[in-house]
Amino acid sequence: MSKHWTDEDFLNHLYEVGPGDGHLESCLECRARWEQWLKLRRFTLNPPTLDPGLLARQREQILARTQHGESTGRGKRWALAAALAGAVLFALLARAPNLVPSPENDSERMLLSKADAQLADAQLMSDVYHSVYQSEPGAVEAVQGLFEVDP
Amino acid sequence: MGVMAELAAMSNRGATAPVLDFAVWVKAEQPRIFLLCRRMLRDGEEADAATQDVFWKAFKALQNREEGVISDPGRWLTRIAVNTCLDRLRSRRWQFWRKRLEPSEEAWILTMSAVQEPNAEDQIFAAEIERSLAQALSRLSDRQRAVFTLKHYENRTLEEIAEILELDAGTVKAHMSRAVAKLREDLKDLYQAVAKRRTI
Repeated sequence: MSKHWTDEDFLNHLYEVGPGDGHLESCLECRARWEQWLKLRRFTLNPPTLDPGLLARQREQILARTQHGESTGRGKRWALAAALAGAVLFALLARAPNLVPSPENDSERMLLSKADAQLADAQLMSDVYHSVYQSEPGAVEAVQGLFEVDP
Repeated sequence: MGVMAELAAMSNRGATAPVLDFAVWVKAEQPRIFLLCRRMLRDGEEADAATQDVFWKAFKALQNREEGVISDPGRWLTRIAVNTCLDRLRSRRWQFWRKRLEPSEEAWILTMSAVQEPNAEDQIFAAEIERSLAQALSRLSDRQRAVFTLKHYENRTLEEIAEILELDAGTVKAHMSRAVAKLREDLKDLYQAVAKRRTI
């Protein structure tokens, strides 16, 4: 004869997750304990008594809905959602001009790029000047050649 | 086929509840569906709204039904209820600002909803069991909770649950195994408490 079932085995068997060893068919003692577990389970199922007033009101609403179609509550929720979506869209559109470059921004950008170009020219001239007047002849010769004017 | 005709046909085919018309059917199934929704959603107010949605969906489905039979109206309605709850749970994840009931509030609601007569002690104990299980179930995933609720409260087989949830039987068994593993200590405590009370 196989070992008696533990509480864990009974619990698993109650919820159909094991053990499927057929032990209950052969063991009278475990069979009796199993009957007890089933009784206990039935006792845990004793449903709480629901408030009859709550059920009656709920039933009224269900039947009213079947007579008049969708509830107005749901309609109101959709209207609120649509209004909210509209507000968000409006806010986005109101901000949209800031996202597109304005003419002022364009002229500013042109001024900035001009200043950048002037700075780059000055930097180049400065670099060349320093190269020319440095003592290393190899490096100087090539650059100097660029600025020599024939007499 | 109209709603009344469909329900009458269900009644003629020996449906679980004596279905005479939609209102009678609602009255017969409403407490079970409301409890199922409350157990899955863990929120009385949302369960109320979900229960109304369930019967509205059932009504619409019956109204638009052209032919065919519903072999088990109770199971069919359970499937609508579970799917409605799962949809609500999915959308709930985005509602991070929603008010969550404190466990003490839930206990109060459950105790207040129980009629304090004639076996008031049994009712209070039942409410206590319901509260303990509700707390334990909150640790399960949505699917695990659906599987466990259908097994524990509705005593459905795993095959039936697989059919209701439109899942593979092996998947349902895996969900159930994980649920039982998570709840093992709570369930042991629960059954011990019940056994103790029954011997008093």
